Amino acid sequence: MISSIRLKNIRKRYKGTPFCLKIDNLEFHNRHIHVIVGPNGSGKSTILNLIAFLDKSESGHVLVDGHPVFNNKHDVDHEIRKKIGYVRQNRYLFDMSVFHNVALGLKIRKQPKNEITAKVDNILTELAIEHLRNRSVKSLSNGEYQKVAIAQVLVLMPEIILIDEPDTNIDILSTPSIERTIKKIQKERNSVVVMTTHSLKQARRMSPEIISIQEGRVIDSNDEKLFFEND
Amino acid sequence: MIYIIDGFKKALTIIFSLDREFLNIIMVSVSISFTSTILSVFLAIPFGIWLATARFRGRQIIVTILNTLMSVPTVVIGLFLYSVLSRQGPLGSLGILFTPAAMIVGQCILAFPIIAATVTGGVSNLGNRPYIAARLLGASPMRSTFLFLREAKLIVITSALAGFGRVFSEIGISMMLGGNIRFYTRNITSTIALETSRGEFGLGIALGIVLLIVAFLINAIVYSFRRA
Ligand SMILES: Nc1ncnc2c1ncn2[C@@H]1O[C@H](COP(=O)(O)OP(=O)(O)OP(=O)(O)O)[C@@H](O)[C@H]1O
Ligand SMILES: [Mg+2]
Repeated sequence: MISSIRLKNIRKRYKGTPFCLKIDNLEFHNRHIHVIVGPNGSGKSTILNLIAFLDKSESGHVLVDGHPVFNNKHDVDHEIRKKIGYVRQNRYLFDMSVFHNVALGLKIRKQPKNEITAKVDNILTELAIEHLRNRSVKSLSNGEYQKVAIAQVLVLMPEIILIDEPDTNIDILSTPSIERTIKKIQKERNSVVVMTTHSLKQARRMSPEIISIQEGRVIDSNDEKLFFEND
Repeated sequence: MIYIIDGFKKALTIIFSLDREFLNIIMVSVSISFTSTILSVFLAIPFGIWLATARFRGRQIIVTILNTLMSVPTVVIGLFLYSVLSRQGPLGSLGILFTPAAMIVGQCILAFPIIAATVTGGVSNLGNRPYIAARLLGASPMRSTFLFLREAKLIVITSALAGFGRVFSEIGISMMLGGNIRFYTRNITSTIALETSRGEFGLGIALGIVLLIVAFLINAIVYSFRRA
């Protein structure tokens, strides 16, 4: 059971851009949900990509339960990969029905068929999208697509849950069911959850402490007010 | 004018009597072009996917070369392979000149840039997102590749059909490398050329109709896939 992820002395640049992520020490644990806020281009998605081992930093380590994970980019321990659920900002669903998309991760984990059906139907109900069950993802609206992408990850109840901007395209009436489901799974499963948002209100609802980043650095939470004066 | 009408009459007789030579020629064309397309698909699709997703210096140059090769004249491929495969050539000892094998090699080369360029174009739009999405869901590299190909199936099918359409209707390679040997390497296009030069239009017109039907079918299939 994974209980913490720590970024240690991380330096991450992108070729041809002045951006540099600098994080000396940042820990995410499973006692509550962690929310990262910050302006566009501040490095939120970059942090999630590093935790998901989708990308590699020039220096520093990602430690899972205190142990550095060797990241050869495509060669991270398959077992760790399977414990991570990541809803990317750049979401992608497969050209199948909603049901089969949400069932895909469970199928990959070779779960029995009847369990898969039960779990998928359960998560679709929790996110109030059971009516989309047999639709092709090509026909979904942006908000519906987003909800299915979240369902696809949450149905796995992963030990590490990363969600980049769960609120994108989501109407105010649907937000509570998504927030409730994330919280519930975090509690039930004791997952390490890291999410990002542009809404300070959502951040406050989800987490007792908010991580603010700006230009690739974690900033003092007192300064954070500066960015959200109008929220 | 009479000879044209005569030719059409003969053509219809050949088609509806299922003339043995007529069917044999079609079989030669279909089997050779089908084989060369399949071989080319297995080489060109991985290459096209690699070219679309890899990031390295000189990638754009390779894409440009590939696009140029799409319109390489068949006689140039014929000339090149002839010199390589002829008795004095470096691969002369294989002894495959004027056999279906030589035609297959030539058509394979002809189809390769067409299939690879179509795949590269299509996959560039798709990007590596399906592959990454699959890996993130816990799929192995192998399974992720399959899921990726599943997403790219339309691209794969249309590129293969484009390749087949090209090799099925080419003549330079068939003539120069096949040698137009009856019941062996004589295919639709080389027969049409031969019969026409002899002033015999019946068989030529019959085979021309087959070419048109195949071209129509390929377009119809591609169109129906695009719409679905
Ligand atoms: N693949 C990439 N190549 C080059 N630069 C990149 C790449 N990905 C991100 N960047 C740059 O790195 C910086 C941080 O990007 P990141 O996506 O982490 O920001 P973000 O905080 O998630 O922003 P947003 O709120 O818009 O999602 C930006 O300046 C961006 O332009
Ligand atoms: Mg982002």
